[in-house]
Amino acid sequence: MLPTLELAAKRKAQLYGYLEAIGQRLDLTETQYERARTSYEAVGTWLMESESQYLQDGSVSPHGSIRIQTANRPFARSEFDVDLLDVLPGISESSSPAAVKALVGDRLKENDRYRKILVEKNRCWQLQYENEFHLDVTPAILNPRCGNGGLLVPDKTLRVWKPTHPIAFADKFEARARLQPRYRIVKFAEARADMEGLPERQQFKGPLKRGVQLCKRHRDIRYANKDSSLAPISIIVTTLLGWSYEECVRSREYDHDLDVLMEAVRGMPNFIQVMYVAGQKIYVIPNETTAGENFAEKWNEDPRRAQAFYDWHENLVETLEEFVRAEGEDEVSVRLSEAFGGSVVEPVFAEVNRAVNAARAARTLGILGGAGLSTSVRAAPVRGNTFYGR
Amino acid sequence: MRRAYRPAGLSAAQQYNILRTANSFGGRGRLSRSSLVWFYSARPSAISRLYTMELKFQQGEFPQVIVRTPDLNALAGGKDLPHVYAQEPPRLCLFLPWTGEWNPQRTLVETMLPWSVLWLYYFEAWLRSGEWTGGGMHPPASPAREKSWQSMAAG
Repeated sequence: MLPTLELAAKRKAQLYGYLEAIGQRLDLTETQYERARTSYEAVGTWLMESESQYLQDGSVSPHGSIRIQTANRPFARSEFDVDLLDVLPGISESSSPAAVKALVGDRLKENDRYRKILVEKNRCWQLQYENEFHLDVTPAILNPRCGNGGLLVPDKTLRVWKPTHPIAFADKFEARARLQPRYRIVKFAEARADMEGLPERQQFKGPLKRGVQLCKRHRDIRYANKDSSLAPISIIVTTLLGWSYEECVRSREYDHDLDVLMEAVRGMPNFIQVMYVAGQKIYVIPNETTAGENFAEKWNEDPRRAQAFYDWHENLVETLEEFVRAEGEDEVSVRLSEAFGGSVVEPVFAEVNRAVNAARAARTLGILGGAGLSTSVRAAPVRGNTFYGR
Repeated sequence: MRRAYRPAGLSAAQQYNILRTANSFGGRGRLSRSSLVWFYSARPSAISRLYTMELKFQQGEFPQVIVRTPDLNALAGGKDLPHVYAQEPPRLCLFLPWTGEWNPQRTLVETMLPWSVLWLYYFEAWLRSGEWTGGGMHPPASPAREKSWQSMAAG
């Protein structure tokens, strides 16, 4: 590669490396996943061992961000959310949602441990495992009008059932996340970040899943000191980025995953459907896997929510564009901290710094001339020196 | 048998020749009778700024590196630069004198040039965190020693 091209490739690899490293710090730990799984399996078993035939026939499965690995360690609180559906195929739509919800709640209350940590929410029951996670248990029944195996869950009034399909949604998202971008120059796209202490490419999660995590984290930072009831909800962020990512990957070639991610983020609002019904502006972000579920439902009740999405998105794009243009470790870290918070960004840079120092102490730290520090075998190890002076 | 004459170290002309022919930092310079200057540019990493340096070498004295652009003091926003002999223009402290880290048999290409890039790496990290993580030593604080240190550093 030409030297300027090589520098550009290394620069993108390093910038993307920071994003990936930040994403890895947002990931739930193996232990957190494992404990959540053990708990929801126990809850599932407890529900199925009920005397109620309806609950015996049910099955519990996780949905939401836990299912698609886009969950973040929570910001500014200690518990993360695990969403469970208790699908009860023996119950028909003519049953009252309130009664079905009560059936599940009563069974949970029969367990001493669950009763103590149980909190009733609008549409579900929440088990609050202190300092660990909140397990939301939502009852669901089969939707006879959905040819795709869709479900119905209680709406917030508990008077009617509303369509949903979190499982097909998750499968569709996973399929999109597996789509591989096409690169103009493979060698450019796959260049290694020439810096100690950044994750290796084979550990990367892929631009879509990482992108969702980063978008959600940016939202949490932006709403840290604001009324978070208006904050864009995760399912909207996930859906729009998924569609935008697919469109990018299917229609264009890119230099680098960093460019794919940037363009997918930029394109998110293009997938919001806006229509006018009787002079009123209606927003639709459908769950494409079932009929009748609109993730933007609440935007139509309160247009401030729509505005909040557009404001958040504009700020996200601006911050990321400044990050991509930034020169200097200090500038890059300032942009990243603005976007994702110093508490997750600073440790990433400190880790790189420690790795550089370890390589220097081991006399393996290379310098590739004017291109600087390098992990490449072509780079000459730096002789030992002591920075003197004030 | 008479001992062969051993020069004290590489001459300015020899150093200059190596800078011109075996130097992955690139750059250009001037050779005088017993001294040289060499201008070169480097980024400590791919996301870093491009810095331009001036290397000065006078036979029999310690070599010096001054950062010419960008303005490090402006970047530091009024804070004193760490590990420099002079704040303006910034002259970098790259080695501990009289310990052999630098000696006149060493080439500038394998010492001062990479050390300056390493210094710049820690400089950007210092801008980020306010901490110098590159290690090093500070000169003693007593005025008498300070004086000798300054004259020594000045070469």
